[in-house]
Amino acid sequence: MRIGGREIPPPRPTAWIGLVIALRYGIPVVALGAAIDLVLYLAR
Amino acid sequence: MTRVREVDADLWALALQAAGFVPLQQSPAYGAALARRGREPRRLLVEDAGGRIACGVQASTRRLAGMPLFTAALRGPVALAGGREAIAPEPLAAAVRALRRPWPHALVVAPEMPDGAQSTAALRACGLRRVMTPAASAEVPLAGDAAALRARLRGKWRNRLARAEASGLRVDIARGGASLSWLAGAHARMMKARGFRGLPADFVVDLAAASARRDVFLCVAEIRRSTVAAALFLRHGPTATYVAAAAEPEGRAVHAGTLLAWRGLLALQEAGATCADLSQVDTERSAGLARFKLGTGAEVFVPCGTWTPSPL
Repeated sequence: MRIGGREIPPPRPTAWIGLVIALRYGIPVVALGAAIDLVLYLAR
Repeated sequence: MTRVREVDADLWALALQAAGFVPLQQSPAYGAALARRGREPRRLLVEDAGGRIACGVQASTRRLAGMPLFTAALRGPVALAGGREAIAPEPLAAAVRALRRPWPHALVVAPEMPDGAQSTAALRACGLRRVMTPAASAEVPLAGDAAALRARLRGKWRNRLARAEASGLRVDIARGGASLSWLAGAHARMMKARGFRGLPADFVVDLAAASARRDVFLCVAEIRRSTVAAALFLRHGPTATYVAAAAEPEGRAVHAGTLLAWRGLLALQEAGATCADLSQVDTERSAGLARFKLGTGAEVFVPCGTWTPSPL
């Protein structure tokens, strides 16, 4: 909606938010899970 | 060569005096209110090669089991010399470096710099990526006198003000006490009833408690000795912020909110504040509130958004 000739949108997340979370946390967490799996497999 | 110094709240307050504009989130009172909620505020001053304080930042950290997990610099870093132009890349990078900690710690900064190519280039050079688009804010310049301020009001806003002034509402400016408790209760009820999220009521009380008495401008409207509306402004450095407001139906019927905002602006102008920050405006989700804020003749400031360090 335009008010006083201006349209001012609320803040919105950008595509970078998902990428940064995936790179900083997703990959290390998946790698840690894989490492635990491997250790458990080898220790059987 | 830039130098980063961690300072206490008193030195931080002193440094803010030189700034052209200070957001509430960078004020010592905001840091103190966050500390009461278990956050760990840090205040850093960055000196440039010439020994001049170029910028500063107040950031708060959340810990989990003693480990720093998340640090947020809301509306900071902020330029501490002159106006609110883009901070030079080197001091900005030094501030960001000082806030970063090893994985899994996450950092977000929302520098108080105008949106644009210069800010984007400086932030990208720091290894940051924008994760949120900007939240624009409405700001009323308080330069000039009351007549100049009134002349900038939009027509409908001025008409509502005239009706409120003629309604016989009694307006006082308090510094806290029972009026603050009334505002906190009414603010909490209004957020629940209308389903919007503002600052939590107890945080509003903490903010006022952490501010010097002379910096609290709590405008209260009464009809027949009964409070029908209140609005809280807090002054910090050269700037003041419209923190919270609430009105009962009797107050809304006579546009008490308009009169309180006006009287607050006048009191701040008289006290020497240079700008009143009416906080976020959003014409999509809060059109009514945006219309109210922009009706004061406020200018819209669009900052550069929220950024975080990225591995890419």
